[in-house]
Amino acid sequence: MKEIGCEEVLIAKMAELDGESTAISPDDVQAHFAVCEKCQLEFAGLRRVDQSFELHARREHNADLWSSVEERITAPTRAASWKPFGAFAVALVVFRIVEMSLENDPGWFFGLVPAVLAALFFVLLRENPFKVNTELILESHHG
Amino acid sequence: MDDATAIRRCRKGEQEVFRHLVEVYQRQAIAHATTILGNREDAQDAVQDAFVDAFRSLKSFDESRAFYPWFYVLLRNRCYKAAGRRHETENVEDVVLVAPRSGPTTEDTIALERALLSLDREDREIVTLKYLDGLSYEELAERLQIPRGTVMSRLFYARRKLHAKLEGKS
Repeated sequence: MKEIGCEEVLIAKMAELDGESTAISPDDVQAHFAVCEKCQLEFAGLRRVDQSFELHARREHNADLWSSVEERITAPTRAASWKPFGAFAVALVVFRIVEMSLENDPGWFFGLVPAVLAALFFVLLRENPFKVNTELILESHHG
Repeated sequence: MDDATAIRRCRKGEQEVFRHLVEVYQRQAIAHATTILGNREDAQDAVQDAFVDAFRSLKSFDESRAFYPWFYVLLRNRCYKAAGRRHETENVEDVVLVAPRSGPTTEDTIALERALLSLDREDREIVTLKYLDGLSYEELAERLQIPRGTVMSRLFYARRKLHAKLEGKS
C-alpha cells in the first residue's frame, strides 16, 4: 500500500464527502483512516463546519443598480472625446494666423477671443474648470 | 427574455437590454462582492464597475457559456482591485453574509458570520462559494481561475481555518 500523509488523506476524504474524485484511491484513504485517530478527530471537526453551513444560506441584498450602470454605459468614453480638443487647437491656430495677418490693431476685444474659445471649450466638454475635486485621497493615508 | 437573447441584442447595439442582466444578477453579485470585500458599500461600487466592464467586453463573450460565471471573473477582479485600495470594513455589525435557513440559533449565525469575516478574503470566498452556492470543484476552478487540484487543497485549508475560528482556537 502506498504511504500517504494525514493531510493528503484529509484532503481526499473531504473531496470524497463533496462528491468529487481524487488521485488517491478510496481504499487507501479508508486504510489510513481506520488506524489514524488524529485524522478521525480532525475529520469530525471539519464535518461540524459542514453542519454549520447546512443551517444557513447566503444573504442577498436589495439593490437597484440599473440607473447608475445605464448612466455609465451610455456616457461617451474619454477615448472618443478627442474632437473638442482638436477643434480648440484648430481654432487657436486660426486665431493666431488671423492675428499675424492683420496690419492694423484690431482693438482690445480681439485679445479676448482665446478666452472666449477656452470658455466654449469647457461648455462643450460640460466641465467646470474651477471645480475642486474633493474625492482626491492621498495614497499615504492608506498606509 | 433569456440571457443569450439579451446578450445578442446588446451586441447589436440595444444598450437598454443590458438592464435584464443587471436586474437578474445584481443581488447575487452584491452578495458575492460583499463576501470578498466585507463591506456592502464597496461591494456595490465594485458590482457597478463590473457590470460596466461586462457591457464593454460583451463582444468577447463566448455565447456557449453561461453569463454569470464569466461575469463573476470580472467582478472578483474589481473586488480584489478595490480591496487593495481600501481597508476592511470598520463596522463588522453592518455586514451580513449569511442568513438563517433551517433553525440555527442567533448565536450560531453570529458565530458563523464572525468566523467568516475573520478569514482572509480568498479563504472566505472559496468556502462560501462551496457551501452557500454549492459549486463543484470544476465550477470553483472556473470562477477562481485556478486548477482543480489547487481548489481541492485551498478549500481544505480554508475549512480547517474556519473550523479553528468556530472553535475559538485562533
